[in-house]
Amino acid sequence: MRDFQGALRRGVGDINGWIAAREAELKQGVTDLEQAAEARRRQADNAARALRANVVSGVERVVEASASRLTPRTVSPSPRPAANTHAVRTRPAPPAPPLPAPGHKTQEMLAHLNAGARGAQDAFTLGLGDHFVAGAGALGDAVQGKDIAASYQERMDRERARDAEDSQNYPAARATGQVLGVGAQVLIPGAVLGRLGVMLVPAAQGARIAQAAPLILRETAALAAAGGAVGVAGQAADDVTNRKIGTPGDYGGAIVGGTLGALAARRGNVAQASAAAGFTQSVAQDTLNGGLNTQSAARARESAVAGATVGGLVGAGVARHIDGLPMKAKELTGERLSRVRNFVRGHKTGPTQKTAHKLPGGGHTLPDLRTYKNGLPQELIESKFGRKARLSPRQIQATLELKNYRVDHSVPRDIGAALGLPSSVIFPWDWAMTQPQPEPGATAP
Amino acid sequence: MRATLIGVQGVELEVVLAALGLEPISGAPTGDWVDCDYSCRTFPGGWIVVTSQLNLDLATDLELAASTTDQMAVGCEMYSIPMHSYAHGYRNGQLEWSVTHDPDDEARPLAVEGTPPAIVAELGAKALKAQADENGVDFAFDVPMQLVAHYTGFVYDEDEATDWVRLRATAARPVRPERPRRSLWWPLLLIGLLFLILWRWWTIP
Repeated sequence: MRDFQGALRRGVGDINGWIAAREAELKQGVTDLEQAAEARRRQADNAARALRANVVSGVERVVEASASRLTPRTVSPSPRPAANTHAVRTRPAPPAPPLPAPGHKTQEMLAHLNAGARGAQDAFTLGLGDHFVAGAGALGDAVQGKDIAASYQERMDRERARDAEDSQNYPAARATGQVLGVGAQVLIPGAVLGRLGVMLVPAAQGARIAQAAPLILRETAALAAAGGAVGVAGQAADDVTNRKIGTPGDYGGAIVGGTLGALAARRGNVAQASAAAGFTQSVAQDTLNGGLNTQSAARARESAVAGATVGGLVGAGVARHIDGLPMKAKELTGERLSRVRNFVRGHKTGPTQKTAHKLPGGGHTLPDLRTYKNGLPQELIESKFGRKARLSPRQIQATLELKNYRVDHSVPRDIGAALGLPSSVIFPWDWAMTQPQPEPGATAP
Repeated sequence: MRATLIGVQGVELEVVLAALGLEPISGAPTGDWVDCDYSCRTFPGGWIVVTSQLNLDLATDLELAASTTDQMAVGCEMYSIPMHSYAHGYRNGQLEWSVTHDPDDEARPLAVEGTPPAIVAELGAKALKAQADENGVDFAFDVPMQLVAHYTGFVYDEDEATDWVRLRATAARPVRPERPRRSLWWPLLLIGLLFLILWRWWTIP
């Protein structure tokens, strides 16, 4: 500004020179700015190209790895065309390997296992597992400042999409996982609820005395056969009520379920045994009728729950009734059960009249029954019946001194199981089932 | 096994048997006490013991027997399968005490009613102490039989006498058939199941 005032004092010629000098400086400054902007633009372009190349190659690697792990080689339609299309458009796809990679089978097996595990988790948690996973992830997102509702919805959509993908690509693995999940669902809460039920129903309690003779192989086989027969009767009743003829798979599954239920009933909890019978029968029938399908898990669950309910209620009611019988009736019941046991063992039982048996250590015992085989005496039977029945001191002495002294101990819940399990198998509870029954010959999708 | 033992003191055998509607089987050999439906034998102290495995009823038959004497009458009944036993004591025909062992009643393994003799408390305490020491053995079950043994001298699981007289019921013996309590539970269950099956049958299109 002082230069401009000096030029004014000096005259017009100096003013024109001053203006020319300023114009030259201004042009030089504009040129410098344009060069700097051009340099910045080139740098930005280079950085963007580099970033794009890195991102695209990373996405391609992820997509390729996922596709090789998730897509079964035997299934022709690719479930993820969009990802692969994108990879092809942005960058040439890597050439397919001429032979499967060394870890290919392992990856495929892992994919099946993952699908099965996800199916088991979904079935075990009644589908709540997906909500839990999505909710936990959404909470993490919320901590990082994202919208929790939107994140939860996005993650749930992702879980559902993955379940649908499993159903499409690994139907057998997912169905098997679901059935196993239902099995665990029946087993674990059933163990807790079964004990709770026993606690609530005193008649269902009572441990066998330590000296009681365990079942021999012949008795176990008879029990299993009886269970199988009950299964057949149940299927026949189902056929009659539904006016149809069951397939061999239906009857085979019924035999498997009834047999397993009868063997499980040995432990005394009829609700658990009935649940096991219902679950096994449903799974076995689906398997024998062509394979597990999408309804198998839900049907097995319903069968188990219905079996446990019917078997548990009938078994508890019968046990309660038996437990309340007068002592004379309990005496007769215990003796009759011992006679049945002798019959199954192949022994004949002597007359009702009791006779004393002298003990080597002094005194004598009065066994309830004596058994014979081919006319020869076999065993002396001391029967016990009741939740709290124990041996007397003289009977303890007999167990120690006599080799052919057998103690049979039955409890009311045994009779409850003997009637509760068949009720659960024969009872036409399929009315209450929401899952469609399999058509004969139905196969897994 | 089920057995009923009745002991009566201070009365003739024939009188007791007549009251119970029993008579000796003429010509039958003697045996041990479980050889016949009914047996009887005399014991020191003027006691007569009548036993039966099936057909004596303690509640009614002991009262009949007790009415024949102005001294003591004791009796017990045992069910060895559910391990239930009980004993009654009469004096001058009047019920004086009773002791019951119910295995399901854990709070009172020995329920005593009336005015029992001191021996009841002694036997009970001994049995309960042994039971506490040796878990899994029912010592209290024997207490009612031990009470009868205390009075009559007859120990049911040690007696080796073979001179028990075999008896049979006379026409005068009141018939007391075993009538188990009627229950509507089973018929109702069967009717219910039948109804459900029929209903299912008719409702299927």
